[in-house]
Amino acid sequence: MSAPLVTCAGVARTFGAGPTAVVAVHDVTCVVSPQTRAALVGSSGSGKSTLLHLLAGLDTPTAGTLSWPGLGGSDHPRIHPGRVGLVFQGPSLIPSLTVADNVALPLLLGDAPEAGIYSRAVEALAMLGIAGLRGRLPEELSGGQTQRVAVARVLAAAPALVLADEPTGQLDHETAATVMDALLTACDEGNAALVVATHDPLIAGRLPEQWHMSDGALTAPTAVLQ
Amino acid sequence: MIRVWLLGALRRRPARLVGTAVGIAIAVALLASLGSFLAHAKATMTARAVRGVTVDWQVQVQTPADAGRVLSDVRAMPEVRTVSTVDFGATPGLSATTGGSTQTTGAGVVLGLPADYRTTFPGELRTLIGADSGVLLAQQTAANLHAAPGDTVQIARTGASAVRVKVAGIVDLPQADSLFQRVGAPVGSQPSAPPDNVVLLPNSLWQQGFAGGARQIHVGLDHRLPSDPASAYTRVVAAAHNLEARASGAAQVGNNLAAALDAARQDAAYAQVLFVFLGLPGALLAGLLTATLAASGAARRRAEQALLRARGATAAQLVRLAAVEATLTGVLGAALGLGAAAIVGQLSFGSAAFGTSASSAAVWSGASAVVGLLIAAAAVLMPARRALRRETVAAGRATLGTLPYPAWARYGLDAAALIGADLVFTSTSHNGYQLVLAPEGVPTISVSYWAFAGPALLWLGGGLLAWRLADGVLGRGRPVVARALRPLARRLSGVVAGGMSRQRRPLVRATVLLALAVCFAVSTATFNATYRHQAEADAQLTNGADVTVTEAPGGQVGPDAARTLSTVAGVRAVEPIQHRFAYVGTDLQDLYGVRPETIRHVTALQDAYFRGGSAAALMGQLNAHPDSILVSAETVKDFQLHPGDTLNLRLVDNRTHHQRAVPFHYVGIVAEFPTAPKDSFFVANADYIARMSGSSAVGAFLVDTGGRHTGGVAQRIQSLLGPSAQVTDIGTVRHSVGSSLTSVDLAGLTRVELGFALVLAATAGGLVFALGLAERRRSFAILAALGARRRHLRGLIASETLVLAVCGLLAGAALGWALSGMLVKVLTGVFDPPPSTIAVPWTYLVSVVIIAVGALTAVTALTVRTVARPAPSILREL
Repeated sequence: MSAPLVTCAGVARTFGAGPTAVVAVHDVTCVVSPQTRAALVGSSGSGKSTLLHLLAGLDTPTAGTLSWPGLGGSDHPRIHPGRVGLVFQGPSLIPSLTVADNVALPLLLGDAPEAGIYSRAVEALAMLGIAGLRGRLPEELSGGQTQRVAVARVLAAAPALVLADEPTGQLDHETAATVMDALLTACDEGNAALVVATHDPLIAGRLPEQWHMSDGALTAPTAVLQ
Repeated sequence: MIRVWLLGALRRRPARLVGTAVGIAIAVALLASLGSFLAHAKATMTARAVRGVTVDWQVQVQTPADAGRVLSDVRAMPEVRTVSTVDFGATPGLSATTGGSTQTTGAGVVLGLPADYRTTFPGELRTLIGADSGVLLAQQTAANLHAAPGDTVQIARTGASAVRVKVAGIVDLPQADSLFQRVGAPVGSQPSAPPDNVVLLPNSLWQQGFAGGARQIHVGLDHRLPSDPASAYTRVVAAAHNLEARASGAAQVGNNLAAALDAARQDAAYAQVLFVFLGLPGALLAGLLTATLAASGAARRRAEQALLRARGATAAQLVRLAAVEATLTGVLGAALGLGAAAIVGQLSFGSAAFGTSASSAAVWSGASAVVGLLIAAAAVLMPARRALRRETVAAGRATLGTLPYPAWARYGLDAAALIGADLVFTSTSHNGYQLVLAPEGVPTISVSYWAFAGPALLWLGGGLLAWRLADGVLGRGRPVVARALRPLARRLSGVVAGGMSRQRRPLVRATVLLALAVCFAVSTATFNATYRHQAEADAQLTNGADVTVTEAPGGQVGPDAARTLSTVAGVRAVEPIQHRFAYVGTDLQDLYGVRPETIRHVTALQDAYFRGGSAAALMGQLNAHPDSILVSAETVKDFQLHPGDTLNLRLVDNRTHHQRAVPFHYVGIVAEFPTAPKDSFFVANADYIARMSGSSAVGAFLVDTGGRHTGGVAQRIQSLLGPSAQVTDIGTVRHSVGSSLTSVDLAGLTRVELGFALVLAATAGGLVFALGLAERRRSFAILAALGARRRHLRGLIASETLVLAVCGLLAGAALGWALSGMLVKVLTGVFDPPPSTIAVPWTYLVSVVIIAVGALTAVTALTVRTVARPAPSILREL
């Protein structure tokens, strides 16, 4: 069995201090391995996005320990751009860059050979059926197209861990299914883990495991899936 | 809703509001400070003009009017403080026998002075040698007669026997021009020079020998006048007219005070000109800066507005929101600006008031505050209204959109403005850049504001051209920019150049703003440095050198005395200069004998002082051909001289004490020369003059101290020489020469202008850039979330910094250089003497570059540090 990608032990994240402090994540213990295909479900404000940010290394826990033993042998995933792919729930493309530039960004920031970067970006766009948009600017795209470009950006970098925050929230069912297909195929082919935060039971149902969050705590059925 | 919106803006976007208020504050502070400068300048000009006049009025009693009645009328005037009666008589000639020879002069004037005249009008006479009272001889008269205290002078009388008087002292008449004016005569028929021969007699003696001559009543006035020279001039002229009306034709007023105030009001007009040339561009720049600061959040504001419209807000509600934001920033900026101006005024002029009176203070501060509110309206309210009228909600949500070329660029307004600037500049040069016209006796001054169009169009055209070039570099020049940024942004250079290109308009605006700020700093500093340089040259011209030792008239001190002076501590070099009087035809002029090979070691001879060759070339001519002579342009015209012509001057031969004709050859024109008067004079080779006149007597020694400790060196020389010679130093002269504009006020304006130029450069570079970056913090957060490390972000942001700094500084330097040249030319009338070259204040300019680059670097470092680890609040928005 391969090394876990992320391990969390008693992780908590509190915003602010004193009486106005907000506990977003509380005492979460979990392990994400390369085989993880999990849907992170829970009501709005339950802490799903914060947990994804913690797993991605974008945020720092206020308690507990978090480590990334399977991501390039380093302690922190941000040391190696592209090893963790994040799909945000809001618009996350850089407005001044074309679709192709946006998709190529993680590769340009990483150490991929420069020559093939843009062809990989176009391939990823093609997987989502939007290769024709590569020269457009984000403001020229619809909400659904924008989200698919964001997914393509993750796929192009072939990460070891994909964390998607409501990736289909703005898509119709058909397009949502296409996006999920692309994500699952890419993760299967690249032996990458996938954690998807979603409200959509259909989307959640396409993943073998479901992690439930409530009031910042990870509850059922189990926090450890391998 | 307005309250919620405002509180939200204050809480969530304080930088945008504060940045806009700071821009407004700079504009308000600059305008109010300049108002303070103008008010202070005018007040000091009036005070200085009044101080410089010894006798305010010379009331000429008309023949055959009763002098006693006129005197009563004068005393009855409420403005009159002191009164003295002076009698004027004429003599066909004077003669004196000294040293075995008899000297005779032409016609002269004999003055009868009351005993208290010297104490009533102390500036009118200055004793050079001998007693203060008794029979006194004017300096040049004494030189003509070779007379000294104790000698006897014979005063010829028409139709009566000559009177013999014993000379008690020799005096200088510093106000001779006004003293011997023809009262009531028009300007053109005034004597071109005061009389050469003047004897001053006690009133009692004059009555015995010259009774029946003309009589003047000299008047000192109450000097509590309006602080504005133009108003003071009007009041003094009106009072004089009142006296003339009261006297019913028995008296005519020679209004010396009005003449001085007339000159001061010209200086005041020049101060106004300087305000327009040097101050308004700064205020305009501050306005543009504010608009740019406000525009840095335009995309976000449009998006917010579009969201509100989509949620049902009416156009009127949205305009009200923008109006409230504009009012808030306008009022805050105006308050900050007025406070800053009060501090600047206190530091620069010693007064926090914005005017010389309460009403002018209210006008200046009120006008500055209104300008601040207008800028706020133009920067915040107008764009919001425009967006509401022209844009759809969808267009409002777009942050980049297409980048249409503005109409001015399509129609080539920049080229048209530059061509217009050249045309106006050329046409202004035809009247010799006379900006201020003040016809004698006319109460109003006309200022040629048309000439301002030249620099204004150059500024406008240059700014627009900088915009076009920067837009072109970032737009079409994107591949070149990408290659140039490769060392900095590495493999991200293409993406960086692409991003900059698509978002180039804010960067182009920041570049133009930086260029205009640098241009403002360069042109202001260069103008000020050139002005200071010329003021120093004026002081040097007046005093001759750092320290000048002027020998008593008729003295026989030879050039060897220079060796004694050179032993005084602090003295670096000493240069003797002869001073004689020579006749050319019937005209008596000053003649200066110099050592052409060494004169330039102690005093600066600018090329602008001469025509027909450079200073070095003409001194070379005097050295190579000792009988060469430099003459005034007037003499060249009067005597129809051509280079190489022989000019015979009549000099007194020391061996025979008679005049002899000495031939010179005319080689060039001299307009200014150290220690020489403003009117006609000659400059020739000292050795040649000594050989031909049999005397090497020196008129003055020019002492070089390297510009240091001039006062101390002057004191040491004075104590070495005793009272036999007059010693003056440049430090003392500096405060007394030139116009009031030169000596008093420009220093304050300089401090204000240069300080604001630094603030504008730092703000244009740093603050505009910082706000632009702050508006993109979401993009930086995305980059950080995608794995961008500090070096990536540094490369990305530093690339923009580099483009902004290089384009802005280069465009600013080029435009500043062109504008400086034009300003110095157009403002020629402000300079005395006119400059031959432009002085470049390198230290200040380097500090401007350091501050601008420092501000950009600090913003870059701070932004990199902030965005490398995005705040959780921004991540939650993703």
